[in-house]
Amino acid sequence: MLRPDFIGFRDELRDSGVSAAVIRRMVSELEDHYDDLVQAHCGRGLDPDESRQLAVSELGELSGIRDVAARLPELRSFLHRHPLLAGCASPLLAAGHRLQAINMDPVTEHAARWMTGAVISGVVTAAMFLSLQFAIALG
Amino acid sequence: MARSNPPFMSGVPELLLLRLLAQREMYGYELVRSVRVATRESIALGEGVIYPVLHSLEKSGSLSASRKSVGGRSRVYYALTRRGQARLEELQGEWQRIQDGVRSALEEPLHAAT
Repeated sequence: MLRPDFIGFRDELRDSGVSAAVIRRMVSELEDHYDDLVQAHCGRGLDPDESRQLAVSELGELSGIRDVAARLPELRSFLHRHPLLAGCASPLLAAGHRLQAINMDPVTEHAARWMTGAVISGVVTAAMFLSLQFAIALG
Repeated sequence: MARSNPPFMSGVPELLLLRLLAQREMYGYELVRSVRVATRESIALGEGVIYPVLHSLEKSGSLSASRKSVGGRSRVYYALTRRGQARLEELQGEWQRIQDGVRSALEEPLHAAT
């Protein structure tokens, strides 16, 4: 293997719950780092294939980098850091999505959308009040 | 009460990166080279592993990152923040304490367990 599989690495990071912004920048930094290593080895007179092989080994196993990133909670996406919130919100969002798929007459559809919207806003407002209450209680 | 030891071995890359970035801002590849020189090649990290650590330090506010174009290539430069400086002092203190403890243990004459 002469170039690490950065595309597969990106998918693995995403599956590990790492946030999209972190993935984007980290992969681009790793690609640059790999290119710098190859360039440095070529500059020392090694042939391109040998340079690429050395660069791959110096960069380290991508699976190891993924494991380190996945262990750091601050690198996870919002939903992976707050699974409870995601768990509460996803049924509501799924219900709203399902309603759109059902064939309804326009009046019922509007009413259903309005109801779903009202429920979601209610839940969001309640969550905000609760977090405020917690913040006040905790001083 | 005795203070518990921090996970110092896992904190080594963090300490080294903060220490080097206290001198000047650097990008990843440059940092790895500097770690090698500063540790006289005695610490060999898988080079790519520094990126999750750098991102984590940035998220915790110890580092700031900015993209700069150098020699026609775009680089992400990391710089130490005020919070990073405080974290560096804290880690240096912990490291010093551990180093003193280990040195003291090594300098003590060996006693058979009684």
